[in-house]
Amino acid sequence: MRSARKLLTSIFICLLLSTTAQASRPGSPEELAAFKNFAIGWVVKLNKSHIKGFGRMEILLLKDGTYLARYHAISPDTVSCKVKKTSAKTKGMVGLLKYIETIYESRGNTPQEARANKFKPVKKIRITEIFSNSGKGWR
Amino acid sequence: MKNRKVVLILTFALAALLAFGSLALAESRILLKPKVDAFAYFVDTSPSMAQAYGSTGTPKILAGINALKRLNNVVPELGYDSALYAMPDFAAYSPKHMFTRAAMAKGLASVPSELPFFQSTPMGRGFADLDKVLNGWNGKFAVIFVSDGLTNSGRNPSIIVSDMAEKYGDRFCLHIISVADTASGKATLKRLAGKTPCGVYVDASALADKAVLDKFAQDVFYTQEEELIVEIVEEVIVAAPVVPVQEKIVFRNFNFGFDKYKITDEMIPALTEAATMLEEFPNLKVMVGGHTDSSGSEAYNQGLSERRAKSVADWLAANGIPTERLQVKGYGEMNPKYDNKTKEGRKLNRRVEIDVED
Repeated sequence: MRSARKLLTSIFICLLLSTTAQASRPGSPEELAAFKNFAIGWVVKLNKSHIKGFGRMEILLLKDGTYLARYHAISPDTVSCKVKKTSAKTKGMVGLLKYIETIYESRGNTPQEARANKFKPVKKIRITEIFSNSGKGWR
Repeated sequence: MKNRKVVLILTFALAALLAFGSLALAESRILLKPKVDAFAYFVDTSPSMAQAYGSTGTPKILAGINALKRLNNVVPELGYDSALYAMPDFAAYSPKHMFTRAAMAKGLASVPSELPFFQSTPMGRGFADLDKVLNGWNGKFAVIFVSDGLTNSGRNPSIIVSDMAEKYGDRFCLHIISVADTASGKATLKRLAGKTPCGVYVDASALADKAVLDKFAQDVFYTQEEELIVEIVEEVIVAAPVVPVQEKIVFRNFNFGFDKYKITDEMIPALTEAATMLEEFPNLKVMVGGHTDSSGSEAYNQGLSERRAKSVADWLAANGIPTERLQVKGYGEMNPKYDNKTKEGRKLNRRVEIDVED
């Protein structure tokens, strides 16, 4: 009987937790699809506007006389989206856009060679952007 | 015995409850999937295509080819076959093979821009010739027809395309990139696009708009996402996985309002989500950094970014993140990540970032 009581207590706690989780329950597939569409455009903007993006690669002269080319890029295969409904008070949604921004570098004896050589990832930044939607679209 | 039964039932109930909870946490992933197994660009090289496209002064053939070149740049390489044909004298400028942007660009460059003057435009015959080729194609395929819609001899193209639509069923989509500058030309092309239920009509001039271009590419070639990103992927060389990874949370759309820094109700859900995420790294420091764009004076932006970062940090502290974990820094306009010369870049620069640090 004691075991049953323990389990009942566990279930009560779980129910309590799941009630709290209701405040951030997942959005519908349609809401997720709408957020994905928004997110795709957003990632394109990020890649396009980055001051150190592929189109505006940094070229640095190193002490040894060689050149370092560097750029940042978000790979589409690292992008994922999640949508959650928020608490009753705000009656909206939050959208989590997760992606990895990778910094690539390549070296060469000339700037042209550095640009043309094989780039290797040197750092990754796992970024989560949190957006809200209170009925006026994602922002 | 009765107790054991109760325990068993409760155990199942608990397991079911936990299973439900884990389902709710499942994430989705963005994937690109081709809509077709093959496609063909089909270019009208009849004499009327040598005339200027509307008021642009550019020959229609060039306007059409340029539209295809723009399109080619955003079509992802997803394993479908492609070909490039022309009419009314049927010619293949790129034979059917697995699509690569480079190969198609080469084909597009070889389409003649000098067109014969004294020739009729048997558009119907052009589609009949195309049909003979498509007859050997398997799976789903799309034809992207570039034309001004003017036809003046031979069989009615609408009838030929109707027959093709009936023969191939939902395997066939006819899309139109129009360089028509006459009402009848546009009507002809719209009618052709309507012959297949999936057909999309777009004016070549509209494809200069990136949003229209991307939408057309998505409507024709693939489901869901993708745009220029794929181009960047090509440049990305995925190498050894031993690369340091930094965690960052970004709020880019907090609407503090002009000169304001107080947390509003609107921001609470996003902050709550961030606090939940930070709890995943209970032993790591958290740096809250405020950033502005370059509008306004440097000193003002510095102060504003500090106040906004502090507001966020204070909220986190009041909502479960220990103050000893929190650090605050205002970067003002000194750490731009995006182009301050554009409105879009300035908007992206206005942000609060949370860095998780060792």
